[in-house]
Amino acid sequence: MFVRIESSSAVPIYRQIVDQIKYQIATGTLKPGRQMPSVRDLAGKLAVNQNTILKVYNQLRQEHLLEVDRGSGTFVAAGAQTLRAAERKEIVSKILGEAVVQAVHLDVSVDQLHELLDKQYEAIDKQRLQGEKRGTQ
Amino acid sequence: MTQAAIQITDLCFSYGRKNVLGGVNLSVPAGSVFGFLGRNGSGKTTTIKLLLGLLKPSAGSCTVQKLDPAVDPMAVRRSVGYMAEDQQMYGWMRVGEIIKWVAGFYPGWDNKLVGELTDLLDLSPRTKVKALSKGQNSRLALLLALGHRPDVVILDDPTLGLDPIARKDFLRHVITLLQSNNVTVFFSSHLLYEIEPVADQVAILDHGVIIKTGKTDQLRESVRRFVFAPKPDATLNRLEGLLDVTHAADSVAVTIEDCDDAKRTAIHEASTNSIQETALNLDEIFEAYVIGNRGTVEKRLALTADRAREASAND
Amino acid sequence: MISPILWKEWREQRWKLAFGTLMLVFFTGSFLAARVTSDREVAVVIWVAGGLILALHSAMGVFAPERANGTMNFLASKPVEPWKVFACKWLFGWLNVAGPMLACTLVLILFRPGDTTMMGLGAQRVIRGAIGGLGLATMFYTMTCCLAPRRAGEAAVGLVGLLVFVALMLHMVVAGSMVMEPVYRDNVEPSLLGKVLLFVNPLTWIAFVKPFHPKFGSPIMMILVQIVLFVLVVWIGLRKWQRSV
Repeated sequence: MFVRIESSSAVPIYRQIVDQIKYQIATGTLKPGRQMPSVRDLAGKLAVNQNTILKVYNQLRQEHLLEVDRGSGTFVAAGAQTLRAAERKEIVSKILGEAVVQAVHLDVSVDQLHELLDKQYEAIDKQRLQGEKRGTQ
Repeated sequence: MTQAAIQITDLCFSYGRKNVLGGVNLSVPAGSVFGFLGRNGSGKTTTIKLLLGLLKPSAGSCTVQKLDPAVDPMAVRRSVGYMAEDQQMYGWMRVGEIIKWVAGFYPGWDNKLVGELTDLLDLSPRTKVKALSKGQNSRLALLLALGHRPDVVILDDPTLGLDPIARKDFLRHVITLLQSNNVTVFFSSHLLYEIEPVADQVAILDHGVIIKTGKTDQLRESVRRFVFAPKPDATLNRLEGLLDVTHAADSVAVTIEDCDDAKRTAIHEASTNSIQETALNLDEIFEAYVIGNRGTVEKRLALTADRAREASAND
Repeated sequence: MISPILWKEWREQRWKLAFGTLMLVFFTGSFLAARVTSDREVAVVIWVAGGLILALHSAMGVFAPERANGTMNFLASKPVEPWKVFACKWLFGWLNVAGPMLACTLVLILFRPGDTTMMGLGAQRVIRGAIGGLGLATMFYTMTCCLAPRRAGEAAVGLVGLLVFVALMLHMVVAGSMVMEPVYRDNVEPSLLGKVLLFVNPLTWIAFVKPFHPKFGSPIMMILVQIVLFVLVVWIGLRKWQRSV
């Protein structure tokens, strides 16, 4: 499982990890049922405080993206992609809000923004297809 | 409430006429990883030496696991693992010999654990200490600090001089060997980007006083810089949470900590037009705390000198 | 907690001890064999000059290298009382002086068993001479390593040693003329104060090698004064060591 921490970003480390795991779940790199590394292992791998990883796992559990099976460990939730619609929209809306602020500052019009959105969707769909293909081989 | 593994109260230390520490207050919860951040010469090593009883305080006190190093330094040293800054060890000894030598001082030395650590840290008992690379030297120093299974480990700038890969490896060992065994770790550094991912809390020491204590995961979000054109009557020095004010032509850059909506409103009221808000990277955050000009830097230094003079007058 | 310290100091000093012993024995043997001067003179030179030089050299390498090598902090941060470390270091430095001197005394005794000159000295005299030489060397060694400034390097300690020697010589000249001259000239017993003033100088250990005028009485008083001086100097040295972290 690949996670990269951006040292010069304003985003706190735990949120960066949460976002990256969410992204990997959304693109199918992390499939439902796949076992996550233990808190200690992931903390060691990233050289990050264990409490930070604990916070990450707790948050993802609360959002029902991860589930804990006592004794066996933490797994990607079976229904990981089926969050309640409202919750999902809420998350995306927040991110879009930040994007729009930036767009206004940088003088990018609403239409240009739509174009960029479409391009992003295409890219992710492509990735997901590739991920599934590799998975079945 | 978790008891403090290390408690420092109004600790002062002077070296001749020079005031090194002017009243340090600090509380390290048991089992936590605590980062002690400060520029070179800010007093970090002095504080650590006071914790080990290598120096006696001019005023104030400190305790390590309820033991007072000024009263019983031997008891503190027996129960604590310590790694000095740029630790020089006996070059003529071999790794195996120096391990045996250090073991002779600690009744609770665990040979089996040390054997495992020697393998894990990639050290060979036959190598002479003077032939070790800097990275190996640091790992050996860490091993020697852990052999008697201390509950508290004090590391003074442990990654000094290490390349980025060795540095990350070292911090990895701190997390997997120490944090996962609930060992309290107190380590000093002058690099915030090294402390931030690893520590639960950080305290910033500057000119012998603590200027900031807080949780590391809030640092990135809480410090913000605002660039705007100020109103002519705006009193910027009074802004709450102010760390730094810099003027340029007709605009001003203001750095604020613990940024919230109330503070943002205050900025809005002080500005004539649009405000540009940016986040800062960790080096900039550290700079803002330590050399940021908030008009009170001179006052703070004067306070330090006053307190130290008071302390020495009370002796 | 003393045995790791003993082991370390032994390992650090053992080659110096071997070298010192070899050198001094070699010189002793050479002087005796070459018959450059009488055996008695050789004994005096070895016990006095050899002892002083050994003492100076050893004192330079007792406390100062720990700081010079940067290992002071590593040692001081161990859970062992500073006085124990101080005592062990002093001991091994002293062995570096006493070892060679005793080896040479042995050579002096064994070298010419049939020679009337040596036998003329008598075993008792040889032992007295060795004690005198060792007493002087011990005091000089202790004064040099204990009175040097806290953060002195090896060379600085050597300089202190030379200054101590010069001071002792000057003191001997002054005290000698004040106290000893009347005794030798008029056969008068010196006052108590006079005796103490003289005996406080370690050079009086030479009285064991070449005895003083009988009016000075038994050497017991001299030994007592020297012991007091020793304790005082060691106390000063220990305080400096404890503060030099």
